[in-house]
Amino acid sequence: MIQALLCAVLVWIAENDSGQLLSFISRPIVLGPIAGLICGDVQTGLMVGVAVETMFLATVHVGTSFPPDASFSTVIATAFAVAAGSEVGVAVAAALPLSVIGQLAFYLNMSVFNQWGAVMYEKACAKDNEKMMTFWHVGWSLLISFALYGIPTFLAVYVSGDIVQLIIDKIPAQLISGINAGAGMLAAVGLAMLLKAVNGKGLWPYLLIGYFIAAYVGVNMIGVAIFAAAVVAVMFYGQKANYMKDTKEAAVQEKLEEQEFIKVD
Amino acid sequence: MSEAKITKKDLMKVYGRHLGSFGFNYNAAKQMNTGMSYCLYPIIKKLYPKKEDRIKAMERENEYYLSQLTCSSLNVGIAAAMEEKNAKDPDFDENSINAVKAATMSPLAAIGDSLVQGTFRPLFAGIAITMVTASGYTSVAGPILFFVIMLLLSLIPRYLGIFQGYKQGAKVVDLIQKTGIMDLVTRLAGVAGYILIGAFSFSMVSINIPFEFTSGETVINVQQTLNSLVPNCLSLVLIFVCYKLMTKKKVNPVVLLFGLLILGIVGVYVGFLA
Repeated sequence: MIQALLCAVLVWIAENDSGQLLSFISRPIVLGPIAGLICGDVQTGLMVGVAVETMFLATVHVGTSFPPDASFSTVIATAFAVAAGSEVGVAVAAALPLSVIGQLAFYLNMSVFNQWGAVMYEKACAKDNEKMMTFWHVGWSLLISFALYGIPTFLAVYVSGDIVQLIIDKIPAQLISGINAGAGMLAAVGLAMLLKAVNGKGLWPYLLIGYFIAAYVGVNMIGVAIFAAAVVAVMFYGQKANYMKDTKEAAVQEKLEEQEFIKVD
Repeated sequence: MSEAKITKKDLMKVYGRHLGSFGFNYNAAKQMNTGMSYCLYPIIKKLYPKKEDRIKAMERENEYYLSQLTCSSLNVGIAAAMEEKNAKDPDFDENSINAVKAATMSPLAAIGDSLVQGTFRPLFAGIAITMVTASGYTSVAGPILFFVIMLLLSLIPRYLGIFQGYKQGAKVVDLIQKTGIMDLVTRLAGVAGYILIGAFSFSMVSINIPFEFTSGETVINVQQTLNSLVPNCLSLVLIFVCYKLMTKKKVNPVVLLFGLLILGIVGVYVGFLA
């Protein structure tokens, strides 16, 4: 009961973070261990966090297109995994449909509830009523996000425990190892999405450099990050001068144009 | 005409509202409009003593606004500076406030999305993931590091955005666009991103194919043979296939995720995956 309530509050905080602090507490890598702590198994939480994070490594909010919801699904998946005795593969498989539900909830919120809130807010503005502005901008958003994400999380975690165990006992072992094999490959989609999002024309040689450093030199990720920083620094100092020169030329050009403009006047 | 002057304390109020609620009420019609006007209200309240002026100002700030959260702080700062001018100078063209906003919000969003969402977040998340896996799923140092770094990357630029935006006005956006230094930074962020994604490709994707051939007395394991040529090369191939499917065939990533999961289940049943 208390666990389910805390999970609901956690999801509520995470879902609002993208509009507030932007601390990325909403990412699976952070939520997983916190949810694990709530449910009493940090290690499983870390495992689910890592698995879901790699799957959604590249969920990028660009403009108005919103990605599948990674936070809602991580917390519920962690609760499932702990209830099922560390079946991480199954939890990740459950996270996938949940993330799509979270995405639908977001669109529903944006086009119906928040839309209504925004209309009411503008009415409060027209009356110059600060209290009502605060209610419709802050209070309403908090209420709705709790109703849309918090309450479903509470129900899912509260009800799930025994049921999840029951279902998992019924699933044949081969299906579970199949799901695990599939879950191992999901990171490929996340990484491909990331490649697409970073959008680097002509950058593929760097991909191979990174790959073979990890493969043959065998350094860990921090080592690769330091190497990448060094490469970037070399390129920055090499190219900065060119950019600065272009900028100066552009500035001179603009001044000339301005002067001509004045003459014509 | 108003004699009120915006102080540091007023800007701190704006900063507080920006941190606490800018992205709330994200709606389909005008996106982040309520966040923009709500953030600016403390300033509007101070600048315009007459109620009808305040209502007019709020109407103005309630126009369509969409940008990235971190970079929107610059727009908020600039709008604050322009509202102050508008309150003091009766000849000031109030339409220019929204004109500046409309012209700068998209480039700012592009910078914010590519740096925060496209580069820093996956980069530090990746480092956190490796720290967790390296500790055998026992240490929470990685996630804590990720959280702290991302929080600082949000708090500091947003403070600078509001205060510098107010101080320098629209000049600062102009400067960023003209110097082209932002293009260079974005490009270099891409370089770092690709090197790191390359390293992830090696360590994070796992495929096992249990094919074995027997010729005479020797047993040849397909995966071991492939791995002795290029370590873990199947994962690189899989990423390449996913990338091509998404860019060339426009396959939805969610479909691809479900597809791989089903492939895994079928593969284990049939026996070509383990």
